[in-house]
Amino acid sequence: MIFSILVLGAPFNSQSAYSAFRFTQAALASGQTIYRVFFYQEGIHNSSSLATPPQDEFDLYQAWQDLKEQYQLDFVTCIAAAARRGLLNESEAKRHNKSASNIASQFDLAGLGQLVEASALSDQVITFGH
Amino acid sequence: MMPSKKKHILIVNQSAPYSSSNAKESLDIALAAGAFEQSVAILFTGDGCYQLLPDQSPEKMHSKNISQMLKVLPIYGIDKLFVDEQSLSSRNIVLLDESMTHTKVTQLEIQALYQEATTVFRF
Amino acid sequence: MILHTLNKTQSNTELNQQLLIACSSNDSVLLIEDGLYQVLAPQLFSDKKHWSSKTSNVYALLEDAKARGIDFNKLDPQLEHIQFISYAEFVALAAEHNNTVSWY
Repeated sequence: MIFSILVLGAPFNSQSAYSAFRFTQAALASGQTIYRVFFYQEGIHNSSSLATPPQDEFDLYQAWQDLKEQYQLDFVTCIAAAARRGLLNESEAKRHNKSASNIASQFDLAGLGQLVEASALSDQVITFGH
Repeated sequence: MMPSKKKHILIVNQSAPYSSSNAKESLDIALAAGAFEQSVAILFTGDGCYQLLPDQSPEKMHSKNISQMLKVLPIYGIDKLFVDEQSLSSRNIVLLDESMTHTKVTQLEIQALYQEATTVFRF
Repeated sequence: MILHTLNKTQSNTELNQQLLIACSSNDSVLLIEDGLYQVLAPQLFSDKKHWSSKTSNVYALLEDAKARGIDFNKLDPQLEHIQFISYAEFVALAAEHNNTVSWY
């Protein structure tokens, strides 16, 4: 089965981002295909390169990044939802004349067309919301 | 890669407009799906019915007008707007913006909408 | 055949009501996150106005139960049919259904 995952919640704020991570990880471990993980609304915060959980807490940001590297996944953060909420990559920061960028390199910034494509080309899109 | 089954997106709007980003961010998905010529139906249910009230003018609070944006949907090929009649009556909503073509649906018809969809987005 | 995931308690009446309307007898419901708390209220599961009246295929995510101090061995007998599952089984369950619809 080909799944895509839609993540609408930010780490720590709600459990949904963590549930999405665990599902994605379990799917890959059991040989399912994850076509894309798409981060939208507050979910864009999962792609932050600056978020720093305390040492004694689970680092979901690092966990997503490690998972992406391990399985060569396609992570897309919605460019408009991210910009609104203060997450920019280098080229967006340049384009908008902002002083810094803060999106982890494992996440591509793109439009909602990527979510629509994921729904067209996956068997199921599973949403984790809060 | 060709999809094996005809795809149909159901977008469920169950949030009131303006107080959260849900109405706007749902609409953005609808427009993207329309632009990519997907088959899309939108269901307004619960507090989402408030998105269809007439005479909305949020300009003074620096907000985009959700109902005006909803009216653009047919241009993107999205003309299947459904409204939960039970949600309307429990909220005493009698008058909707009639310039938006919509169909009232019963609970049974709502169940069918969910069964027919290949992807459901909920805002 | 839809797999519905539900992550809220019964106090979110509107959400539970919408699930009641959407759910059909072939569908399954998986309780995750705060949805687990519903198993502590067995009276819900004999209420005609609760989504459980629509389907007997009810599952619950074991880890979320454990986190919340919910012991699946100590449940009310009328909830015997609820199967507590792992994330791996959640994946398999989703794969067995035509679609997964999330309620949050």
